Amino acid sequence: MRDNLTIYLTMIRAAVLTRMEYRADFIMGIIGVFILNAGTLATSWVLLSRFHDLHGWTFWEIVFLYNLWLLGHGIRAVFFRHINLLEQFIVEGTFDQILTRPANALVQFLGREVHYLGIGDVLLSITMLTLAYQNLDLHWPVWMFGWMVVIALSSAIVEAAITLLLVSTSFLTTRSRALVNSASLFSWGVVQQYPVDMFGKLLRNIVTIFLPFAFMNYYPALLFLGKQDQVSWGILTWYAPVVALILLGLSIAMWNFGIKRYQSTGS
Amino acid sequence: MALIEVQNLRKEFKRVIPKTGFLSGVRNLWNSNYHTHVAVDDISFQVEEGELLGYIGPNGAGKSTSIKMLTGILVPTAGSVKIAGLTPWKNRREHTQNIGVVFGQKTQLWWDIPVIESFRVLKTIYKIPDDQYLRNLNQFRDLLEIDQFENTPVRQLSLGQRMRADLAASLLHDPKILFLDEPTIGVDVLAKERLRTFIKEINRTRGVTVLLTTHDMQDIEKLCNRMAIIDDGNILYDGSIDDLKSKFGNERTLVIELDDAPYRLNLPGTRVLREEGPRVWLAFNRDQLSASDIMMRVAEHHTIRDLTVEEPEIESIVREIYEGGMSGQKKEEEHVPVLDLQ
Repeated sequence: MRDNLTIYLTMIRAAVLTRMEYRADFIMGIIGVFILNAGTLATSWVLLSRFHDLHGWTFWEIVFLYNLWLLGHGIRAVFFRHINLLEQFIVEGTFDQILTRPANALVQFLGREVHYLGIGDVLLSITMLTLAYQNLDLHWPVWMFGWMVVIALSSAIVEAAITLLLVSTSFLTTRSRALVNSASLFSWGVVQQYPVDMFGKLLRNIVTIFLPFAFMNYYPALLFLGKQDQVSWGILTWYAPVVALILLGLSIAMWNFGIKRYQSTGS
Repeated sequence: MALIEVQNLRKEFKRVIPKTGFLSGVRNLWNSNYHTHVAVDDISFQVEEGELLGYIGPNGAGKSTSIKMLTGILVPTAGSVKIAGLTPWKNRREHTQNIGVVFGQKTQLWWDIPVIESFRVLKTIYKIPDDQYLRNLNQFRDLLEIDQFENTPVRQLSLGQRMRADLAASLLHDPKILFLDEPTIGVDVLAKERLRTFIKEINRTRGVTVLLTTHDMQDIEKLCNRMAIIDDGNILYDGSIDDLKSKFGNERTLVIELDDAPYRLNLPGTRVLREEGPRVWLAFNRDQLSASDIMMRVAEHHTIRDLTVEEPEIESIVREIYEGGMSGQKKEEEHVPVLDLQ
């Protein structure tokens, strides 16, 4: 475990050095993403301000919901964005290289890249969450700020683990992009900006059980916004870290299964 | 016990036969039409410690697949491999400590960071102690002149430099065995020579066992004391280069330039390989005919202006083996008619 951490951190250092080689690109990238997300946010701002509220969620609550998702998504993007690129790693032979080295394959894969684009997301979401906090006139006890950190990390893990789970099918087919893309539609297309309670049972079950993206923002937000008593499933607000750990376990199992299959089929 | 023991190694790939037509992309998701392709059929060989084995064969012969099994990347369909007592795919992580791997086609270094930074990462991954790391690094600075470009990102290196850096990287953890998959591909003649000298040197001084695949026969001739020729997933030849030459290389080519107009020479015991203007290439078996016999025969009717005898190049021998399998011998029997000099 300690070895894995040392190897991971050493590799992350190399990955950061790689990014620093392209410094102009680095700064432009952060600004670019910042602007991109601010644009998306501005659009929903215009749309939302036409309604007084959305299924009992006020404008600033929606802003909070959106940016809680963006925070987890951004952290995930910084460290785990290349999970989506596994296919490419396999096709280009980088993955074979990983297998010829005496360290855990997943640690080597995850440590291979970092992506600064997520930093723009993180900066923007923190700014917007702060604004929402003030506008909603929230007064959290101190521990809730700590819980916020836990939730941010578990959101990142939820998204990364679901992606890893799906992308591990690349080992069997070498093509997984379509699968990952359609699944992530439920993430940025559904839970990102709409409170899940406005959807029907089917969709709610999908984003809670099968592709539990709702644990990235909706369920944790119930607690932060003091809404857990307003819905019958309010208890789920506490379960995001548990869901993250379960998904992590499942995705690692799927990854290991995938590698076994890859080694015997070599597809 | 030999360092590398390979027994009846076999690898089959199942390839999906893709569907075409309406919604083919979707229907391919549960496609069940497989076609079994045998990449490695049945391979057995042993490598002793300190050997330098050249592994050659045409594209698609099964070289890379065998290397992938020996390095623990792939699990074979059947057969066994023991390398330093370990089964590569079962004890993958222990095994990788014993081996160094270089794929000529793809660098194992981090593309955008200085070479020395890649080495640092490898030091952590292989848990190389500081003193060992420094000792090796200094040696490679001497032998490969790594210091000239160790602070340059890999993407800015020439191919020759990149291969030097890759070789050094593969040896930092003092592996017992080095797998080199086409280490000289695309490299210029001088750089090739340098790489060969280095490989030979580390084989001699460190006793590193080397298994290399290549398409360059010069690599084999200059480096290896033994070669294995593989085609269609089977080993066609395994032995020393000298043996190969004497077994298959008893054919000589006599190049004769005649004074008179092109004339079809029909001499028993010889084969016309090529005719070009006044020049004729005649192949003959030196065990059955001598060059002087042929010369005399030709001289009876023609004036010989010039003549040379060519030894077979290893390349042409190998080409012949690829083309005819081991039936190279059969061909000899065919063109051994009774020598009739009247």
